[in-house]
Amino acid sequence: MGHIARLTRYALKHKRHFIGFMSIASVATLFNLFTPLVLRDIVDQVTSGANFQTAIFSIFLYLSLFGFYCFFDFIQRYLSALMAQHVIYDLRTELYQSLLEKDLAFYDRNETGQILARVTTDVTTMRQFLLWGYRVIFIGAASLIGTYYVMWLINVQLTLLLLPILPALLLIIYIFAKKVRPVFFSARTQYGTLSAVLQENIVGMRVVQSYVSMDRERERVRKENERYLGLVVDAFRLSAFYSPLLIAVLGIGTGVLIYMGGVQFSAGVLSYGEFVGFVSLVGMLLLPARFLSWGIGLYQRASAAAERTFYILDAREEIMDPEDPAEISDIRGEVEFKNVYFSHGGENWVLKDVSFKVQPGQVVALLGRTGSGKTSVVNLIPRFYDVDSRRVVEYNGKVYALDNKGHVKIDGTTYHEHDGFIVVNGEELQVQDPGHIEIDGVDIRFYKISELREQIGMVHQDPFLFSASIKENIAFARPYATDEEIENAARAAMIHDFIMTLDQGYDTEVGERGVTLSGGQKQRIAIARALLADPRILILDDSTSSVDANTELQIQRALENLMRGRTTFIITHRLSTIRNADIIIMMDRGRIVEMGNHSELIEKEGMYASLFQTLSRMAAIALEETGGRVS
Amino acid sequence: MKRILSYILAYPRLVIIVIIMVASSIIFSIYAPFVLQHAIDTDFVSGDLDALLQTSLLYIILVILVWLTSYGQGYTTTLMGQRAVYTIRQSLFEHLQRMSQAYYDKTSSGSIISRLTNDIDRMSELLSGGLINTFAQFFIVFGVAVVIFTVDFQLAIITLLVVPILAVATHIFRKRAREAYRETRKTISRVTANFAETISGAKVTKTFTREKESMEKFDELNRDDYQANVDAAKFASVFFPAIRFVGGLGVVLILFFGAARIVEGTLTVGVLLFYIQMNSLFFRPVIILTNFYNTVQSAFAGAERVFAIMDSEPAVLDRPDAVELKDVRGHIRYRNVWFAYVDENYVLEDFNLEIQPGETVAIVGDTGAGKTTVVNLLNRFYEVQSGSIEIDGINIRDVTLKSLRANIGLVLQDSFLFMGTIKDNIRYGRPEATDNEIIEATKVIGAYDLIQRLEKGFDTEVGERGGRLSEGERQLVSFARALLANPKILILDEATSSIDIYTEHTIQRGMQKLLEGRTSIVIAHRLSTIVNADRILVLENGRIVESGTHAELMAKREKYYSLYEKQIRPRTMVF
Ligand SMILES: Nc1ncnc2c1ncn2[C@@H]1O[C@H](COP(=O)(O)OP(=O)(O)OP(=O)(O)O)[C@@H](O)[C@H]1O
Ligand SMILES: Nc1ncnc2c1ncn2[C@@H]1O[C@H](COP(=O)(O)OP(=O)(O)OP(=O)(O)O)[C@@H](O)[C@H]1O
Ligand SMILES: [Mg+2]
Ligand SMILES: [Mg+2]
Repeated sequence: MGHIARLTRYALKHKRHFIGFMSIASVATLFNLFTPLVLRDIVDQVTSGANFQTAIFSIFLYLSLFGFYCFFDFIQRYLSALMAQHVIYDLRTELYQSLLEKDLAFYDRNETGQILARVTTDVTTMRQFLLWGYRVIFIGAASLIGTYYVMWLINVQLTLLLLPILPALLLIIYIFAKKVRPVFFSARTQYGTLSAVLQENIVGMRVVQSYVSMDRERERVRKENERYLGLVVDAFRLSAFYSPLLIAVLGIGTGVLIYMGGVQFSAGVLSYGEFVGFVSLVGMLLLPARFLSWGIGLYQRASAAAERTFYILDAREEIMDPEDPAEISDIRGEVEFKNVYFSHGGENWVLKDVSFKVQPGQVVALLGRTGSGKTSVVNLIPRFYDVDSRRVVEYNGKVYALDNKGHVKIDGTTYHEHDGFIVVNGEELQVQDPGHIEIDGVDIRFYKISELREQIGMVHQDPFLFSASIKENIAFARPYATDEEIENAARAAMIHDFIMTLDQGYDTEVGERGVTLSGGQKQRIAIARALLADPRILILDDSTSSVDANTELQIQRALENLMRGRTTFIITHRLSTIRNADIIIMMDRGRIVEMGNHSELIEKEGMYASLFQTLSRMAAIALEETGGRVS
Repeated sequence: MKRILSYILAYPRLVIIVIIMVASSIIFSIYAPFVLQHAIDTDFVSGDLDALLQTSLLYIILVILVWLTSYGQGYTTTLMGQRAVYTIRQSLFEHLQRMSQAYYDKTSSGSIISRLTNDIDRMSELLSGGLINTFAQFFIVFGVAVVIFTVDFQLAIITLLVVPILAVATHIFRKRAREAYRETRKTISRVTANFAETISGAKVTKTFTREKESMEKFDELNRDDYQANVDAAKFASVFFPAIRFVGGLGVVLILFFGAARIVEGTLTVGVLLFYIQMNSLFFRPVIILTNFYNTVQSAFAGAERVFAIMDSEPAVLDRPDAVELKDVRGHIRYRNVWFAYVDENYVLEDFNLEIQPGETVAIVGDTGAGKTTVVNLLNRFYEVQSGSIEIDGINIRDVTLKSLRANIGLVLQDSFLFMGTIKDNIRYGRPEATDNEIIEATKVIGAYDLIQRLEKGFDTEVGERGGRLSEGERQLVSFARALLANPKILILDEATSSIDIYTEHTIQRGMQKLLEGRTSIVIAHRLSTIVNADRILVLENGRIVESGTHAELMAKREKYYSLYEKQIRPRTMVF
């Protein structure tokens, strides 16, 4: 109910069209009701043998009435199409807007295929309802009442006899509606699952083909496809059962009418003409019954689809703009993490107690094993995810979150907080307040998100390019950048020369996700894109992993110039890059284990020092073995 | 049309049931009015209430029969139609599985998905019920056209007089409507593709706060779709009432001539009414048919796009006489290979390379030199333009794709994982592998403890494309996946580029064991990965410019030496 009401609110935004087509639909229906009367007149006139002239007049009346009806019918259809299309347009715009605003956690939770089904086919289903649903239900209900009214005029007794048809019809419609909705809903959901599987297969076809797992994937698709088939057939089976049942109820009514009519006729209460009129009136109930069952089907389908689509609009965003955002005029680029804990929900702590401070213009290198949380650290700066807002305690190196009543469960026992402490086995554990991140001394949650992100340029670990030209991809951050600026960015990213070798240069299309480029080319275009954004804070997440040593060196040189005075975060597995950083942060399992510059860390003789030595030794051996001299 | 039909005719039993159901429901529903007429003309007049009771009971039974047969008809037509849809979707998908990589480079996944979903859905309306309905209505139209001539010739002619108008109107409509509907299929597919890309590119859009511009771009597509649909609606809204009007015109003609003849006394009212009824009997199917025409049009437009894919030959195909590639030793040979992705832009020019069984060959070179291309060709993701590639002396074009690819393990530069758990993914290449084997494979590459550390260990859900893992974890999983498949030929394309130095070190140590008995090609920018290779090739602009062992190349002090030196010396070394 609620979903269609909500959809109707969209329709009512186009009041003129909505009211227009509804009222014209009523007028058209009226005209349609009148024409048979005129027809009756014509027949009466010619049979009474009277006047051929009057008959001709009536014939023209008939023609013009009918013409009006057709004309109104046309307008009505057109207006309803306009209205439906308008609503769909609005709805899609809103959906798109909402998808743009969703945080990444939303995309982690929902598969592309499912989202896609919700914003495409489900929307189409709603359009079907907008196009037909209102009209059909409206006309159906109106003619139902109208017909009964006319029957009442002719014979009250017989009408009362036939009155039970009405609740029977309504009951059937009600049962049908109730039964079919869950089936439609699961059919829609299954459709989403099917699209998700198809989507994954299309996108990952290269892997499927290289593992020769076509048969297996085919089976997977077949399974989902079959399940969908089953649900759809179920849904249609229900309508195939209930829709003709409505007509059957009317037929049974007619049967009863025949008998009772016969009784009344022989009693002389009913005239011949009245009886025939009655039978045809019962017949006329057929149309509204059909319309109503059709309309209810549309309604249920649309309601299931609407629920799925509105889910997207309603999904709560966790990352939102503050009420009263702090002004960002010129960021200096000081970044500070204060006791940051982070998890992707649940107890899987990806970052634990991360604190560090970066001065404006410093270069920070993050180092650590795969999965140690480097990307997670930098993802928090532009607020792709927010710092965990729960209070936590640490016990035996594990992190436990307190609920808002101050309870925490550790190893199956629940403990309570007292004055900021929790006592476990006589050990006092301090409760940590939720951490936060500051830029220029202000909590980043106080900035407007878009302004914050405009200050940050980020090259992601897996560079995503749009299927557009190279130029559009580089100029993604600043669509109105001049060609010269684009070229400069491309030069700094060492990709300009390559682009110039292409037939269409900067206008070359790169294909979906940049498939027509090599790995290193993609990365360098992503770097150029970030550079063109001219950010105060630059984040390079393993952005040269597929670039050869030569090129990397040159990119680094260019960056050194460009990034002077800006804060830079670099994540890389190449020690050569790390050495020159102002701060090196060593991470392990979500914690910072060492921090300092190269010489400090070497002196410390900790993890960094040993890593560095191992590698140096390896390199030296490799050089020695070959007789290559070192320096 | 014929082709769409063939999907339905694939279920002959169902078709027969449907026909029986349709026929009986038509017969029952035509018989019912006769019963009614009998009641009025006979029982009413005779006043025999018992007979009347019988007649009305008969009527009710008929009505219930109509209901049951309609139910049967509705159910079987849906079953038939939906099965056809199911088959079409399945065969389109199977066809897509055979398409080569070049096709996927060109076509956006969004538009392919749109065909697999939207376009096929459009066909579904036609296939389930629609088609049957259409035939039934045609039947009625022809039936009526025949029946009317048996009563009064003149009025019959008059009734049919409007048919030419009808034909012309339909003809005009058909052409325009087809165009209009085709346009809507195109615009909706663009909207879908844009949605798809926005969803996958959400992170980048956020990074560069491009929301406004993306919105504008989408708005344009959305507006186009709006316009296309409104245009199509214009035709549909005009056409339907227009047909009705023509029908009304027919009634008027009948009335006009009929009335005159009644006045003359050469026609009875009953016959006049008969013709008026016949007119509506004639036009109702026409209206239903034309109303249905929208569905048909958009179904055809959908079908066209679906069949277009089905008809496009995959660029890479098994030869008819292709043989199985069996007992591979692992000898690989590229002979004078020329290859370009587009037109004449050759990425590889006269490329020659021979790799002995069991040899490990490393390829290094600048980005874009053609390293990935070399290995893409071995798998026949793309077809060489000239020259040939041989495995154990057999041209890879002469063996089945299946057996070829089953013998080659490929770790791609961008690791793609499927939704499911880590375990599922590692097992992807060999579903029957035991848990122990999975653990072994991860241990060899030093990923075991990393995976074990995750919240649910090997049962951790990786998310779409593996998005819930870190990049390095993703690479490790896809590496393990390739190993477990135990291929004779192993290709590692930057398989460890995002993996930390410690783990890489572990992999290096396990490498010997890993590569034993396999021919392998390793592509890497991190030179530490390749020093131990039997042979190192330096690729430049699609040509091999240097080749030899690490020691030989270092001694040579040319390209490789300078690459290697650059990477380790200037900053890393503190000597
Ligand atoms: N699908 C494609 N369509 C068109 N051109 C392509 C395609 N794939 C690669 N290219 C082009 O072919 C050339 C060689 O690409 P390739 O991927 O083989 O390079 P690579 O040596 O693997 O580089 P990298 O080290 O960056 O991965 C590049 O110039 C690239 O732009
Ligand atoms: N979207 C996500 N949902 C759930 N868990 C995630 C998600 N993204 C990352 N993780 C987990 O968080 C941990 C840290 O990941 P992160 O990407 O920060 O690692 P990383 O240090 O960048 O590693 P790499 O060097 O491999 O890129 C990993 O164990 C990973 O599995
Ligand atoms: Mg990372
Ligand atoms: Mg490559």
